[in-house]
Amino acid sequence: MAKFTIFNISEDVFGIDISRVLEILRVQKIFSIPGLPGFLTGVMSVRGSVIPVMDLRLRFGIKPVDNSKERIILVRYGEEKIGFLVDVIREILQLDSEEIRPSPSIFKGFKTEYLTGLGKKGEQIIILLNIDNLLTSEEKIWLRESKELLEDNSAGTGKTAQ
Amino acid sequence: MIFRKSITTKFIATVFALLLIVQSLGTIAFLLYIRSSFFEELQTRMNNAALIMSGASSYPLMSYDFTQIDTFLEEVAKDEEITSIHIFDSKGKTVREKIKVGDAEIFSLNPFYFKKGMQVSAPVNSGSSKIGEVTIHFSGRSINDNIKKSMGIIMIVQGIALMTLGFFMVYFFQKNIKRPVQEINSTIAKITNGDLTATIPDLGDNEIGSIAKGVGVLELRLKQMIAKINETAMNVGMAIKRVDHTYQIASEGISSQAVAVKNGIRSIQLANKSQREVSENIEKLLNFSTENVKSLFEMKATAEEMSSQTERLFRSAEDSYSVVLEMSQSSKSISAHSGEARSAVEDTSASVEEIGASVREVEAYAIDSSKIADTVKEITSGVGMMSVVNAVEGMDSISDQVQKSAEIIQRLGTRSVDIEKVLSVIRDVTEQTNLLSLNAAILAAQAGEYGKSFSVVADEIRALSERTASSTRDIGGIVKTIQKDIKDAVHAVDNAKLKVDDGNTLVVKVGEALREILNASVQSSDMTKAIERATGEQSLGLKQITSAVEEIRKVVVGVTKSTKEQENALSYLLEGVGDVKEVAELSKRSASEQAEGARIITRNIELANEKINQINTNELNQKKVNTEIIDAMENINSIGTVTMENMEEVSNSLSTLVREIEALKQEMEVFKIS
Repeated sequence: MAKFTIFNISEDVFGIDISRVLEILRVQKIFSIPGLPGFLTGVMSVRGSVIPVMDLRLRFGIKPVDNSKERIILVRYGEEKIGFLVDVIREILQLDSEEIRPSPSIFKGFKTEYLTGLGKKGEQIIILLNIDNLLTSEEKIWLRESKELLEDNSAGTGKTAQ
Repeated sequence: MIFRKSITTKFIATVFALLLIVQSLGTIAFLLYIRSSFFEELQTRMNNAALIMSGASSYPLMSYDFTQIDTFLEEVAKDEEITSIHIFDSKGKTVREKIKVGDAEIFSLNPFYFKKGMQVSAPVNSGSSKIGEVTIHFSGRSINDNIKKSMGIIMIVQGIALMTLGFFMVYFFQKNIKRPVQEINSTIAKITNGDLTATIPDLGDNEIGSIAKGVGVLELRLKQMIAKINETAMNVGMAIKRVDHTYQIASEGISSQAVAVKNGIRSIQLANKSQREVSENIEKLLNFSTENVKSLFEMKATAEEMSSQTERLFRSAEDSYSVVLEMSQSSKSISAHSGEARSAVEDTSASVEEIGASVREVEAYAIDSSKIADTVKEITSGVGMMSVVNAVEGMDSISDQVQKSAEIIQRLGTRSVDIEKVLSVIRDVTEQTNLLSLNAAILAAQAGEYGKSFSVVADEIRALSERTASSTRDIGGIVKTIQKDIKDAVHAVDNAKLKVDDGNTLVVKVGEALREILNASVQSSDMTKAIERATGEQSLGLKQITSAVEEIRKVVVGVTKSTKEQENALSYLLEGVGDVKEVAELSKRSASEQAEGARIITRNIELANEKINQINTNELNQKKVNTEIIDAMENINSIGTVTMENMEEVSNSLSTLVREIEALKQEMEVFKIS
């Protein structure tokens, strides 16, 4: 039994375990700064701290479409935080253990390593993401080591924001 | 209850039980160890005793000195452990023995389970040959006593140690864990009940202290979130008030539109009434003018007849004159012709009578015509013109009302744009509320058991925000419909305006036509007056003619009677006939004058008729236009009704929204944040 933040990317429905979610934010100004690796869209400023943002749609090879309901899910990654850009936040949903099934070898073209399982609520199939596997090990290392780079650049981004 | 629930008590009890078990096991092991060491010692001692005994008894045994053995026995048997000593010879026969305690008694001395027959033997040797054997039976009494004693001491010492330990543990737990946890507990209970002003004291830099800090941070976040939600609810409330205000203004606008449209319709109805009056008057005019034309035609015929009669009279008079001349020239033929003259005079008299009747008829017709013309004039200048003026005024007021309607509708349009603006604010606020509720749900889930009540609130807020969103969508749809209605209404009003302009032109045309009729009837009236005058003069002339003819007749009679007086009377006759000729000429001139007047009148009347027909067509057009205007007005009215219904729907949605916001506020009132 666990609670999940349920959201959409295109037509597909995904879930992230709520224990890893810190906050849901409106899309705000995202700054691209020099030296940022390709998997990040940019960084944003949340209550004074600078947080990298990754577009989950790009990670899943889906072209982002402009919509007003775009949101950022702020997620804890060990000591670090990262924001995932998604299409629509739907709800906070509780799934009992019998409603969660192990993922098949391949589901809708998503790599199995991205998934922890499939949630089933009524007719709805929810792809439960294993967010630890969303980033490659190099990306994780970058994220861990990036703190200084982000702090250095935060002063600069602060100016651009004004 | 407290004892069962308290982790502290459970923990202390578990530690106590464990300590007790471990201590007991230790004690048992210790006792077992002590027992075995005591036992070994005892066995060594007994062995030694047996060896001493055997050594000491070798000689006495040889010499059968049993007293010495007995002394030894007594001496050795003083040892409390020894229960019995037996000395056997080489054949195994008991030589001497000392029994202190029986076997049964031994068992009662041995509560710690020692073998019943604990014994040691030592051979009694003389040189290298065995001459006997010493056997000593013994009990473990001293060991038992020792164990008993040490058990008591161990228990007391352990008891004291455990008590002290227990006391220190309880004290430590009370001080360092139980109280801080209770404080955290009570604060969380307050938070759960909605009192977010509760604070947690600094509990130091240990695990409990960090939990307290965590709860404090959680509470702060809750507080911020609730403040945000409160603010949002207030924003939504304000927005709704603005929408409500705008809606009321719009409502007033629609009501005043409805009033304006009603006024417009009333004006149109008034105009219609005026038009109907005009129509009736015109119909009357038409009747009159038909009558007029009929009268005029009759008059014309009579006048023409009269003209021919007059001609005949004139000719007769001339004939008479020439006859009289002839008479005067040939007096002889006078007599012969006097009968002829008499009949001619009588003819003339009849003709004159006829003319008189015709002239009277003409006079009567002329008077009729004059009266009709006057009536026409009166109608045209009085009621007719007034109706036209009324119609123009009606049209103007319709135009005015339509203009007002158009303005009100335009205002309505701007108001609905305002509503749209406010709706977008509400949409924004709703989205923010939704986001807040999601975050609240995340926080509640992470707070675990204590967050449950808050998670209920978060769910409620989310449901409210979704309901608000759907209400806002509904209102948006309705406002779109209203905007379409308003566009339709503007179109209808524009149409109505065009129709009113058409009506105005027609009314002006009717006015012009009426003015022309007035002119024509004034002219007709003048002409009929002239005819009247002419016929009056003619009448007078005819009377003179009649009297002259009468005189002629008398003269002719006189001529017939006295042919003798012929010559005298001849000059007189000539004079009389000259008078007749004069009168006949006057009559002829009057008749032709009269005929000319009748022609002019006919022309005027025909002109008037034409105009009246034109008015009639205009009138019909006007009626059509009026019907169209009424249709357009009714259209506006029905659109207004639909708009009103839509506005009512908006109002309902707004009150739903207000109720929901009120519910949200009540939900939020549970939380004290300052």
